[in-house]
Amino acid sequence: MRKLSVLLSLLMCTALFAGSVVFTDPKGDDNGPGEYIYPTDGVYSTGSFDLTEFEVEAKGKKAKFSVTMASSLDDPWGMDVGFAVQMIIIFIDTTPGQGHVEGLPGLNIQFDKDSAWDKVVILSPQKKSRVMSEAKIKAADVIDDIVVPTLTKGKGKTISGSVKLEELGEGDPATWGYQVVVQSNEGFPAKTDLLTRKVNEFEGQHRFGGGNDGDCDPHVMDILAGKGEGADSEIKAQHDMLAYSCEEGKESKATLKMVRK
Amino acid sequence: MKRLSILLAILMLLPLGAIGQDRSIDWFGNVYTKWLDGDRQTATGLYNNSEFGGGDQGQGTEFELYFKARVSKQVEIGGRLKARFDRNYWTNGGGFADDENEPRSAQYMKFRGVYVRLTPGYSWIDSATIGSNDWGMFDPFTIGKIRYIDRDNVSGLLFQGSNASKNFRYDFARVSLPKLWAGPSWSTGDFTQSDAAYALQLKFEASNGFHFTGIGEYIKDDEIDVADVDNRDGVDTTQRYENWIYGFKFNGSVGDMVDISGSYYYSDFTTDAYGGEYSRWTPTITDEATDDAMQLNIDINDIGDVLTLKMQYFDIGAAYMSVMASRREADVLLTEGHDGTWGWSRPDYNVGSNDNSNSRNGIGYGGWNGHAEQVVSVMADNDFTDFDETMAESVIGWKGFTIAPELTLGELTLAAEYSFIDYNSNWQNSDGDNMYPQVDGVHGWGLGGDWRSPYSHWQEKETTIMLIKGEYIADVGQGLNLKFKYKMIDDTDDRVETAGDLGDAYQNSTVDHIAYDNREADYTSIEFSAGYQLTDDLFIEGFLAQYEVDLIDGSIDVTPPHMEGWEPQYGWIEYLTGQHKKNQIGIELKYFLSGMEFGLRTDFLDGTYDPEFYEGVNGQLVRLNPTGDTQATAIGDISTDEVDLSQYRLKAFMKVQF
Repeated sequence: MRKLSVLLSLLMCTALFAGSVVFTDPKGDDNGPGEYIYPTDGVYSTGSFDLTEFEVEAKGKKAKFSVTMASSLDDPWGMDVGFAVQMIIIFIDTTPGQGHVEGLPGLNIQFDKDSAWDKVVILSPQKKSRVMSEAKIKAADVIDDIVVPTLTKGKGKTISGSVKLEELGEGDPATWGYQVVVQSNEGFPAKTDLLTRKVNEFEGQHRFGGGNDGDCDPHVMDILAGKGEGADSEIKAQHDMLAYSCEEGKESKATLKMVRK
Repeated sequence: MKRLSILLAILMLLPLGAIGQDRSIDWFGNVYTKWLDGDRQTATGLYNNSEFGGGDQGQGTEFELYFKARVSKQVEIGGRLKARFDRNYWTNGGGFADDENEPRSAQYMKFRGVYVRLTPGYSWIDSATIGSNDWGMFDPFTIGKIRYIDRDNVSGLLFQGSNASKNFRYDFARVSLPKLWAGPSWSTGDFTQSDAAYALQLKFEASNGFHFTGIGEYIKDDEIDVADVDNRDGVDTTQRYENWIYGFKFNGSVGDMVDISGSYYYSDFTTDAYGGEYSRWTPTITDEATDDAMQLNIDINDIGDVLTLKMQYFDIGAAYMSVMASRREADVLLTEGHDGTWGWSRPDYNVGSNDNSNSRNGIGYGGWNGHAEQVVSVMADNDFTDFDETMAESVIGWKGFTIAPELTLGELTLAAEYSFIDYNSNWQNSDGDNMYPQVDGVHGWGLGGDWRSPYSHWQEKETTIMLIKGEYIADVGQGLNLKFKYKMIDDTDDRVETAGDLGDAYQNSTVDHIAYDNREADYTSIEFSAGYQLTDDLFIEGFLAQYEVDLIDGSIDVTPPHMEGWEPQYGWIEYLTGQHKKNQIGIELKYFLSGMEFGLRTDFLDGTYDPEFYEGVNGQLVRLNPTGDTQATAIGDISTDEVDLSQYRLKAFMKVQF
């Protein structure tokens, strides 16, 4: 019995030493800058792109990323990993003051200079090989900073995947800055888009609506904002970050900031 | 006239881009090449299971060119040009082979999926789409996503709108009925061009986050009224069939952990295409009937952060009839259902002769990989599929429940399922209605059943499905993805329950006790796989599986009701009581280069069928031990020897998107 207690204590200590950081996001803000609408096909069920929680858990040599949505996951396209319509892109600022300010192709976002990203983890229902092969041509300039888990899984409402900590760089994941971008897995993306689904002015069967037919609008449905605590004020903060202008001569791009604990 | 010709010539010489910056056309597409190999040596189509026999040999290439243009802010057009294969083998030599005039071989181009989408900017309508569509905005119980060869072959009109706050939406559609299959006798009759389905769907999101959807659908199939012989006032029409479907759905969350959803559908089907006579080969019931279908789903998520529990109750009426419901690529039930490996199994277990052409049809001994998907249609469709695709099975008449927990402990995921299925089609002589077609049901008598055989005239059946499966990522190199599954299906059917019905049920044989026709099928499967990301571009996975069926299909005196005399000899009906064992070794590769996907799957299967024989003695089935080389049965003389079966099959493909 005593041995069991010791063992349990050790296990608990191990868990305590493991770094973990959790962010929450308000429900009902899966509308990008405020006006975005889901595609009309039945597979895009309400809440599919509504981020509610993001957790990074460092255990041993690995970091596990878990992203929880507002609705249960489904696999209508037979991806065989427990989810299909979502794609989650996690930008990480491991080293403040350096990194990339442009988002990934197809997102039409940029980052504030103080929130430049160093690594990005992509949670996609597509095979890692597919994601990386697309990235090699569409995001060649940042390919060394793109990390894809060997296996990404969906269960219940949560999409998760683990990567080696060494792939992310040095430092404590609990202190890093994060930005989680919710997009949709597009198996037939436009030539310049990294497996992302477009946002148009009018929603279509497989296109988001409420944006612009050009590429001046952010193709993003939900992100973290504010302090990442799920406060109602974070809805406005999200809309502010994703604000854009397509007006000729006054174009401005959605500019995101990292969220930190 | 000459000026007009010059003008046209100038216009034709203009590059597309010069038409106007806002009207440029986006062109994109893919080249898809498939390579099939196997030891069945069949080549009637570049699909393992095609409409005209199937094939496991050959190479062919499809070319597909999509176009899409934003003509103006209010008008968009799109479509594609496609050369698809059925028999477009490389060996055709570019169309100069003997069968150049055969459309399925001639590498011809067709336009497909052409649509015009209008977004006029009015408050009452968001968009109008005229032309092709896959109708995915509706659902699998009403108008399902329709794929027949391609996903967007079916055309119609679609109007969609919403209110300003987008919490209310409508979809209204008129869908032209595909005359090839959408009606009694796989047809919409002789006069087809005005036949259509009309559907109105209303969606509402309540302030509490619950969503409600109402759907009404009406399908009509008109024929020219032969009684109207005077055409001076036009020509009257009569209705070959009509089909009303009403549906109501809801879904929402109760707290953070519980999701709940439900649906109810009511169908009303009428046809006079058969004049009240029984028809075996038709995808609809053959008389007037109403019925309903319902589901209730409760998901409890993240119990203790490690457990998810899914539960489903379902009750799908035996006469629920929705002609445009999904025929494949939908999965309306939570259960895995049956396994594809026993679907449409060939070659013949009893004869296996090349002289019997039927033994060369279909998917082959290995069946389809994986478990089936469930569709609410007597027309479940598996044509133009390969062994690595999912088999669709009809669940008309199914009622029961499924409980499916899933537990995650670190890198280990464990999932299980328990399903109990009773049947609304448990009846004697179809409760006196002869409107239920058997379609392939007679064929399905033997082993795993057939995908579109929901009806037996005498049935008292129960099915239990149990499985446990797991997935673990071992910390080896890039991570070794290990999976296992253990699955059992217990399927019993007492068939005829009243002695007085035995004569009616078994007209080709003499069965003199209700216990002598009982069927008991126990399916067991064990599967293992290991997958590894060998390089950034290459993923490799190995599979091992063993499938067993312990089948008692009544006594040696039993033949299926409605069996026709030619069917055993043709291989359509087989004697399959006994022990079936099948082993499978498979390898799958997935290789990606920028813009290109390459996939390969190959399976080696070997197994045995050890026939067993039962006779009826004093109201019980008693094992017979034949001493000769053959045993006489009502299906024919069956060899008493164990039969060895095997199959090798390979599918490789390359897809380049541009």
